[in-house]
Amino acid sequence: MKLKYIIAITAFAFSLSSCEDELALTPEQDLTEEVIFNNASTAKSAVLGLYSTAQTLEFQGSMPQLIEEYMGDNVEFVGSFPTLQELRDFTTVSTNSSIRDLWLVHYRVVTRSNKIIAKIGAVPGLTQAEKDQYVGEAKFMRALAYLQLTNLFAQPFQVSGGTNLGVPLVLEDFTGEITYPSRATVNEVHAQIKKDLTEAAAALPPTHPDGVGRATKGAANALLARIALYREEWADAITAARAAIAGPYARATDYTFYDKNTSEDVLAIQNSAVDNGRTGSGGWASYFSPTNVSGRGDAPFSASLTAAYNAEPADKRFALKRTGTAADGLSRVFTNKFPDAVTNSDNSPTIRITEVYLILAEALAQTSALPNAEAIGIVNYFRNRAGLLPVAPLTKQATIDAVLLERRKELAFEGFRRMDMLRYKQNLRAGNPLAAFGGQKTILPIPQREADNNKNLVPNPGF
Amino acid sequence: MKRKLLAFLLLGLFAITSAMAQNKTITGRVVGADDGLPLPGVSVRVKGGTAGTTTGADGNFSLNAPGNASVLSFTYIGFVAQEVTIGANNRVDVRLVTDAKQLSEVVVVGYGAQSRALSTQSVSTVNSESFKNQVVVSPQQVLQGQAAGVNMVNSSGILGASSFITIRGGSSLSAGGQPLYVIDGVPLNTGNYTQEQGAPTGAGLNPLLNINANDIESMTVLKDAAAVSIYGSRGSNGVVLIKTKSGANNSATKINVDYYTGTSKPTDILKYMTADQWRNFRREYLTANGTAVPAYPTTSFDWADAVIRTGIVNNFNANASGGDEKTRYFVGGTFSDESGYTLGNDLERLSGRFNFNHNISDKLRFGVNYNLARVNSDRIGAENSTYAPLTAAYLQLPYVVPYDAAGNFVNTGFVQNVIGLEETGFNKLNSVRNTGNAYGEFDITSGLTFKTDWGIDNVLFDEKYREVDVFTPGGYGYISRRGDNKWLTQNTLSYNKIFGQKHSFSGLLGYSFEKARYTSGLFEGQGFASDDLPNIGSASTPLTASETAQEWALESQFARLGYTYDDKYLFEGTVRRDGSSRFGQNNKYGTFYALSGGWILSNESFFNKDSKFAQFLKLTASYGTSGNDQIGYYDYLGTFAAGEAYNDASASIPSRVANPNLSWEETAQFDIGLTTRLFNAVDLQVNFYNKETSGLLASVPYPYTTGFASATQNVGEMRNRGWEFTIGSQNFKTTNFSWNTSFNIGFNKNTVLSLPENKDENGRNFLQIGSTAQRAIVGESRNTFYVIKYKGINPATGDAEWFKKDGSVTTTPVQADRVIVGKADPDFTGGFTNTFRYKSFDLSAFFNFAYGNKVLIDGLRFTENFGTGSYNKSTDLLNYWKAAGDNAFAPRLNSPTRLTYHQLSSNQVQDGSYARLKTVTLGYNLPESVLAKSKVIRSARIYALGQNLLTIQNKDFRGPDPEVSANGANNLVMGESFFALPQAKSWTFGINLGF
Repeated sequence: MKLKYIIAITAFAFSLSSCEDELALTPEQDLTEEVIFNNASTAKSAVLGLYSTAQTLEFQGSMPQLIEEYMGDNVEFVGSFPTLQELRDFTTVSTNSSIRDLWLVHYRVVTRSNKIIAKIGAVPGLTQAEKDQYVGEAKFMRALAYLQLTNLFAQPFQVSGGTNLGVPLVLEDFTGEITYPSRATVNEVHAQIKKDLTEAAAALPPTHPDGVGRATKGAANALLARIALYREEWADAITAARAAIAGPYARATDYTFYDKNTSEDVLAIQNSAVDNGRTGSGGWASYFSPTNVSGRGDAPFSASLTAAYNAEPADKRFALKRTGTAADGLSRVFTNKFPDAVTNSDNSPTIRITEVYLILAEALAQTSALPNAEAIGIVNYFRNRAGLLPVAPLTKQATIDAVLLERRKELAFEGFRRMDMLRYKQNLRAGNPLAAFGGQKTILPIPQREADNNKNLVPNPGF
Repeated sequence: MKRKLLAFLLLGLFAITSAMAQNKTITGRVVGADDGLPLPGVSVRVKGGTAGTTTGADGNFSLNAPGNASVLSFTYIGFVAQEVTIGANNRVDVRLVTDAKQLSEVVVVGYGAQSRALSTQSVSTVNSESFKNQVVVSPQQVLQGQAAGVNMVNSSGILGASSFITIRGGSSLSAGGQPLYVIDGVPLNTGNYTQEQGAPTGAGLNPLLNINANDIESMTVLKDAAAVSIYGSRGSNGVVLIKTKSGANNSATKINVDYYTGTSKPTDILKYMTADQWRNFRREYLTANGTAVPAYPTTSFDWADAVIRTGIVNNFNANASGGDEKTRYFVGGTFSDESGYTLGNDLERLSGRFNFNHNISDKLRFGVNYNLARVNSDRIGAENSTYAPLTAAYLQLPYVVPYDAAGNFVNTGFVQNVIGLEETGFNKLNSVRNTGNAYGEFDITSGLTFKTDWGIDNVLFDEKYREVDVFTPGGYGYISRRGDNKWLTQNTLSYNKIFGQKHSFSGLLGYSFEKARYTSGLFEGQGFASDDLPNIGSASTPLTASETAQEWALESQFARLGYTYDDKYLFEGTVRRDGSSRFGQNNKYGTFYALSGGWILSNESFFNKDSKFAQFLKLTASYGTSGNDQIGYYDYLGTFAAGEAYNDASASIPSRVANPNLSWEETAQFDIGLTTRLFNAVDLQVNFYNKETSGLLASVPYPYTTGFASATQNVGEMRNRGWEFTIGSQNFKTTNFSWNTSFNIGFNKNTVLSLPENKDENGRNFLQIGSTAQRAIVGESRNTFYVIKYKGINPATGDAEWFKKDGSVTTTPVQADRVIVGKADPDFTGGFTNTFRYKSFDLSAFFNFAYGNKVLIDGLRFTENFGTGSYNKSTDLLNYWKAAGDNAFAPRLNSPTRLTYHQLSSNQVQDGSYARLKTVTLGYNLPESVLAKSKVIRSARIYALGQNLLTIQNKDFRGPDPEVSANGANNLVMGESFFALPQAKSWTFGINLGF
């Protein structure tokens, strides 16, 4: 055989041996989980990842809050999104993609919290205090997610005492093995929320060493007060609210706090021009601002809310508004609680101390046979701040009503209205059984995609 | 890598230093007499001897002959045999003349070329003749209706829109389903290089928009396993080989100049109300429902009319080609400028190509193919963007006007003032592409050739967007830059040998390595001191500054062995081993193979080739495997994504679940074919194929309770089975008149065979990703529409009605009532061309068609939204139910179904079958007697060409265009459109001169 053939064959055989290293390429903008939790600074970035997730449109980025406002009666939704119009019209279908995404993002918050809770303990270079704090923050965030989930996807406590279906409770870290959880009852989910918040309140410091915008002891107590209120556990609500009020907070004296960090905030998820939850679909200022200042013009005042303010037109809170073109091309009135529709830097008002005082007032009013003086004092503090004369309710019910009216006017556009109506067994719309208290379409459907992918999920009836 | 290259270079070096002594080596090149194009696989023998060789892909041969050999014989199926005397310099170049009775076509195949008659591969070829002078932005467009089994659908009428293309039904679920494009041996980058701007994810502009159709000589579609398995892990979606134009040896310089100009309009648009119609309708609607009627503005504006204009195209193309004994070249350039029929959409192309081949000696050759292209476009928003001209025009309330009293543009909010947007600011794309390869080829010894080929494909897409103060206070802008730089080396040894007269062998052994780096950057800012400041650097608030980079590499070894006995029995075997960086640690390498055989019955002694009935008959069969690697770069790794932020600190979030077993999907394909020539005039090719894909790559949906939406896994099996018929017929031919017909049709049935456990109401597993309306269902098509079935308006009640799952009628359907209402993939697609020539006139008409598919016009959920006051509506809604007995289109004004009427159902899923007069051309060639007087002009032709002039579709079709698949290359969302622009109807006139 000629030499050259031997050489040719040898060379070729040589070339057939593989070069594994040329094929071992690694990503340049991702880190593996092992790396993330093997170092204090990357582990901290994973904790911040939880807050970054919380900024998302579908969590604290305004979509759930907007839905609460217009399924309630504070906002007239005139936007063009059919998925949001369906909710307005109480004709929602289970394939609604906005609701699907809302579910996803809430469970992202849950599972990312689970990851922190499972992994942070073994991170080298973190002090025990830091570890406790991060776990506390994750438990707070998980509780907030589950509270929003039960509010939206389950009939409220008032319908059947919380024995009805809530949402799946996922508490274990996801490591690749898919599980198909079924829905826990509202009571079971709420119990987990209270457990997480109680542990978080114990673990978290009154102020966060890294500054504003992070979960603290006060935030955990305030959220405990909120869930107790929603469950009509008045004594617990009073205890938790007082614990929160004991924190480093102070009621504002005017309404200039909306676009800045002040001691009015118990927790405001921090947004900036370069880092916020706004998407092309919406955002705080985007939904709630008219088109001429770069908003979508989707969510102006409803006639009902306007009428509530007009009963006492001097109310300074009624001045927190601007008129402009709405999405339907007509001139309408919008809130200016979220003024920056250009860069969307407004913070998400997750918990304000005003809400905590109003929780305290409501629980006190509910638990006193006679008009409760402390509750009336709280109401009159806010009325005074709004430039209104004090009131002096003469009955328990009148006191409760006074608290609820202040609650509506104070917290409008911040995402409380639907639950406040349902808690008092009010119909979200008149003349539509689907929108009445306990009506099938007062809550959101379990997303069809989830029902398809997890046969253990029982759909909500009527979708 | 380096080790291996060294080995190859050494091999070449040794080969060069070893010379032949006792015998003489004869070299040469065989080309076709009429076109000068190379002929591969021609048998070359010493007359009277037994041994011989065959020509290589480029027509070259080298033969080791005895010192006393004097005559060589050349035989080739489809050509007249020739004997040539060996000259003094041992160089023999031959031009073979075709034998009309047989197939003489040459087809490009992977790493080579073959005689179609002798090939066992199933391929379709589209020659430049069939698309010359057409207004074509992207090369995929020329495949539409031209190749059996190829389904090509434009995603939109936007200039440079991406395309949906499947070959034999495609082979994947959620991995890429597009074929591999290879231009002169260089596999092209086909990533996402542009911002979607409202188009669905991944369906921005066409990644191949800067490949110039004017440079293309032919496009060959590789279909069966015998053809595609040489491309291994990238072959299962089919391969499109693009061959660019080249010169011919020993031919005088030919110069061709072509210019055309024309206009375009949309084929159709959606219906919309005038302001008066809208106000009246709304007043009636609100009144009927007891709601107060707001004081609507009394103004009116026709938005659609204002954003649609007459598009204009100008295209200038010139090229020169020629060659001498040792050198061949082609130089070409194109300048074109097209403005689309939509306000603000323009595209300008400047591209040049240089192809060059040179013989250094009788044994040593080299060549270069190089293309440099620049495409600039004024972009517009697409589809789902309310900043897109036509989308906004359909949705904008017709009483909203674009100007205020002073004549200044106004901000109209979410559905933006698109006239103002297009008249101010900018939305530009600049793209550059460098594609080329250089090769050296050396004849080591008789029949043995070494070739080393080095190529690049560098793509850079630069986008720049700026919105003025009116539309975003302070102004807004971004720059986006995406690039993909590939280099590759391919090294092959090929061997051609004839033993004992009848045994002809050809072998190919190769090694290739390919690596590409994709980079992207996005810089976004807001707050400009003036609208006159165009650059992001002038923005006060930088919103985004991001950069990412990703790399992949592919290392391959491949081999092919062909054997032909007496031009009767054909065999071919192929094997390829690929190692890819995209797959898990446990499955980085995959091996693919194919075996094929053919029998040319017409070369048997019992076959009478002189009969009037059949002159050629070949049967082929093939079986083999190929793969698909079109998934993300690092999908097998479990990761956290950096680059998130909170409160001015960096944050990381989980981004992927690990899957170390991630591997290719593998397609096993069986094909049988019949190729024949009948009545001395009709070429017929029939193929049947059965393609089964296993280990399908799918982005498997996870329950969201895992925190993940999906992960890429190998799951499920799918089958594509079908028939293809291609007919070319010379119906009539005299000196003055000829009539040719070509027809192709491909029937494909796509069936999902298995999927991961995820059952629907009927107990069938399904997979649904990216679409609300369609899903893959076991036992059904991958693109099955699964929605609630709409019945219509009840003439008695005026309520809209739907079917429940059990077939009963309801006014309140739920999602559990969803049923299969059709599929997005057609039963068959094809094309039909008739060409007539009378004296100096030629007339050609080309129809393409698709049948049996449904399309979802999702935008109807908006324009037919009965109850909303947020946007404009279709005039169809004016036909609402008024009295008992009405067969109305829309419900009663106060029907309880008024708010659910528009919800997704089969009402928006419509028959997408169509036949379209894609092009019609009328040309006139100046007679040679006239041209001869000029002494300069060799040929002259003037022509008129119309595109999309006529569409035959279902009479009830409500949508601008049934030819649509707005999600571009996405396999699982086919035939859906939101507000995609319809195809353009155009008229062009041109002149072509040859010198």
